[in-house]
Amino acid sequence: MATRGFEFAYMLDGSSASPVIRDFTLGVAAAHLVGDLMLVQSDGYIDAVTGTTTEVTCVMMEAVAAGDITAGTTTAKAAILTRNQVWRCSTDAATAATALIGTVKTWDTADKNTIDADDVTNGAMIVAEGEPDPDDIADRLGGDGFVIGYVVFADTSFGNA
Amino acid sequence: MASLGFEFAYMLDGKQCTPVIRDFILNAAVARTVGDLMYQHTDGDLIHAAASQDEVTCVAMENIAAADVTAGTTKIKCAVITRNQVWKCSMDAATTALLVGYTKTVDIVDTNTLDADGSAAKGILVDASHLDDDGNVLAHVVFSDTTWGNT
Repeated sequence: MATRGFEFAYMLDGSSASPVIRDFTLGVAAAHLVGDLMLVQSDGYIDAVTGTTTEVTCVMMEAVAAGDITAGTTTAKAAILTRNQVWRCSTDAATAATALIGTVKTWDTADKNTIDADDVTNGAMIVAEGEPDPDDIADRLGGDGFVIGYVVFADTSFGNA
Repeated sequence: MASLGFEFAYMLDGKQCTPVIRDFILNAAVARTVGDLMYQHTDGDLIHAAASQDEVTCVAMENIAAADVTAGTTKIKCAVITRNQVWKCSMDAATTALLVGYTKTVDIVDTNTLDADGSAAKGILVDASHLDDDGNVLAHVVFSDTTWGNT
C-alpha cells in the first residue's frame, strides 16, 4: 500500500526530536486524513494543498470527516513542519524523474497526500534520498509498487519571511 | 502580570534543548532587564531592539542597571536566538488580528513587548490563543531574521 500521505521520517540534523503537534483551525469543510499536507491561508485557517505546492505549514495528525467540520471553527491536530525534518510520501508512479539528492529543490506534489513523481520543477521540496543510486529507489518502493519520496520542505510557514 | 519580556517557550522542531547563553558587550549605558530583545549594533556591541527591528540577536538573561554599564566594555549574559526557537511575550492589547503562520512581520512596540497591531518586522506568529494576567495576548513567535541565521 501507499504511505499514509506524508509520514515523518527523521531529523536531518541527526537529533532525536519529533514534530511538535498542535491544534490548527480548519478553513474548509472537506474530509481531512492523517498525512494530508496543509497550508495556512490568508484567513488564518489551514487548507489542504493541491499541486504546485510551495509554502507548507503542517501535516494532519488526525482524520476529520467533512460533516464534522465547521469551517473557521473546527480544530484538528497537525504536526508543524520545519526545515530540518525529513518526510516520506508515496509518489504517483513506479518510476520517478531523475531527482538528484539535494540538487532538485523544486519537487512538487500531485495532491495533498501524494508526490508527483515527474514534476521536479514546480514545487519546493528538496530530495533527501533516492537517485542517483538506483538501489535506493528500488529499496523505497511502496507496497503498491510506487516510488516513495524522501523530502525536506524548503518553504515552511514558520521558517521563511 | 505581563511576561518578563521575551521568554523561551520551546523548540519548534521538537528538540529538547534550551538556548545557548553567552556574554555580549553592551553598546550603551542603559538599564537592561531580563527578557529584553537585543541585536548586534554596527559597532559590534549589543543594543536593545526597537519597533520595526528586523534582525535580532539575543535575549537578555540578566538585569543590569545603567549606572553599572560602561559602554563598549560591560558584558551581559544573553540567550542566542535561532530560527527554530519559539519565544513568548506579552502584546500591548487584549486582541490581535495578526494570523498564526500567515503573518510573518510581527513587530514590537519596545524591547520587551510585542505589538498587537504592528506588522513591520520579522516575527512569525505561532500562537495567539492565550492571555497573560493583565488580559493582554501572550503571543508565541519565531524570529525569521536572526543574526546567525541569515546572510
